[in-house]
Amino acid sequence: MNKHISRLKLDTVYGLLILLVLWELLHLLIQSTVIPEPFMVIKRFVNLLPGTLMSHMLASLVRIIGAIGISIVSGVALGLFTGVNDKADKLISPIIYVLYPVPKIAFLPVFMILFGLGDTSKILIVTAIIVFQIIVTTRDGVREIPKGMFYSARSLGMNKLELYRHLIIPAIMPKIITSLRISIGTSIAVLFFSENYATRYGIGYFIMNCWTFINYVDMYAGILGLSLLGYVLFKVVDYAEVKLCRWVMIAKEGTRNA
Amino acid sequence: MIDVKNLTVYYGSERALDDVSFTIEKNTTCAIIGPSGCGKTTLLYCLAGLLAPLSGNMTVGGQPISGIRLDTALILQDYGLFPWKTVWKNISLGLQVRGLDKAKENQIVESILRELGIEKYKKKYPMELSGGQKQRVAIARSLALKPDLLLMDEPSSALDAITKEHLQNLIVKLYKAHPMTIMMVTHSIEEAVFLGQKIVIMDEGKIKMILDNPHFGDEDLRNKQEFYNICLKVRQYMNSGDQDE
Repeated sequence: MNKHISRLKLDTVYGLLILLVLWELLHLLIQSTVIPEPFMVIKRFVNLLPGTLMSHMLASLVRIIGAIGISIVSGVALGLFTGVNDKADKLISPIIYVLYPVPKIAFLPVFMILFGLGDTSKILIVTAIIVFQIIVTTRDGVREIPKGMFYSARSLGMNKLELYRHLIIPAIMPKIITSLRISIGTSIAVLFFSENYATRYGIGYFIMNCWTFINYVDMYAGILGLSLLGYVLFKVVDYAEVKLCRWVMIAKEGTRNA
Repeated sequence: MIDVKNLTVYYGSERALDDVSFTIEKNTTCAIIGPSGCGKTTLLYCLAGLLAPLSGNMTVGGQPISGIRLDTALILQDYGLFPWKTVWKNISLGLQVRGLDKAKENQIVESILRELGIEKYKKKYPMELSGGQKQRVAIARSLALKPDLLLMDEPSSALDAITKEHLQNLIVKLYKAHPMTIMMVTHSIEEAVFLGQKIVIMDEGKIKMILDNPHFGDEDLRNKQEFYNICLKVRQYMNSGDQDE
């Protein structure tokens, strides 16, 4: 396991270095206040973090975790239900397919009227957007489990609950992890947009507010905060993958060495 | 031990088994052989309680088959191991499902790992093992449950020639150490003759012929003329229908 984690760390340092070099180059090339010097931004970020940025980031984090939590629980449950039950699939999947491509973000005003201006409407709009992909991924994951696996599990004498515990959930776990990764990216983007309305807290609000005041250095410090938030969430998912899907990590290692 | 009478199974409108009847005595081995699609795997799944027949009677140990029987173990063609569980966890799974206490479970797994010579793989995942090693784990998982009936679907079809012989020898050795009824499906004549006291030849959902094989159990059988005589006999019976057409 340590091998996987140290590899993750090395990849991170490399990624950050490239990002900083590109940013510096862009700053030198464009020579405009709209792309400030990276080290100035980092300094400002460190100054702003304890008092100001932290509370904005926390407000956003709570919303993201709330939305992802609700989406995972309800999406996986519905995905499992449609995955194992053909009748349920015939009834529910057509509705999901019709709703999936509808741009839910356009309904933000409706969500704000129905669920208030506070956190609830923001959490629910993010949920409405990411939950579909989790449902579909889970359902397809269940269907991809080879029939022989079910025979094997049943012949060992497993009951329904044990089938979920030893077969279905572990089999779809890698897919859930993947859909979690995609969900994090989407939820940050959606949250950024929704935090521009009816709130004074949240990193999205902070960034747009700095922009209104043409304070680009602070704005970038905010962007840095938002990126950091996304990065930490990604790392949490990476860690969960190492912990929960060790067999997948070993399979990847195997193909890399082969 | 196994008593099958007038078994008929359909897959949709296709008849997979057509009025099949046979008996197998307790603690004997039986190899079912036939070409692909002859219904041999269907028969095995019926005996495992995974498929329900359209008509006919099946009893195992005097009890009619209705679903999964806890003293029947099944080894699938692709071994049926869970890739997300280590060798140890795969083997202990059936015991865990049966609600055995942890100490007893550990003791059984430990001893079965030793008996099959796979102790050093206990922390590995199935994908890190070769085909022969996986098959040993699958056998260990079944034997841990101390079954009185072991069903095997093509036990060695995915293995290379040498590993195949090792595995067949292992099955004979295990059978001698733990007498139980073994029924296996195979498409290899040599395997059927080496492992079956009774050889059931199937074709198109029906039993063509049942042969008794008195030479079973001789681990040196492959080096003897009798082995090839029986192989030849089985081959002739398998081909007999074709000549009529």
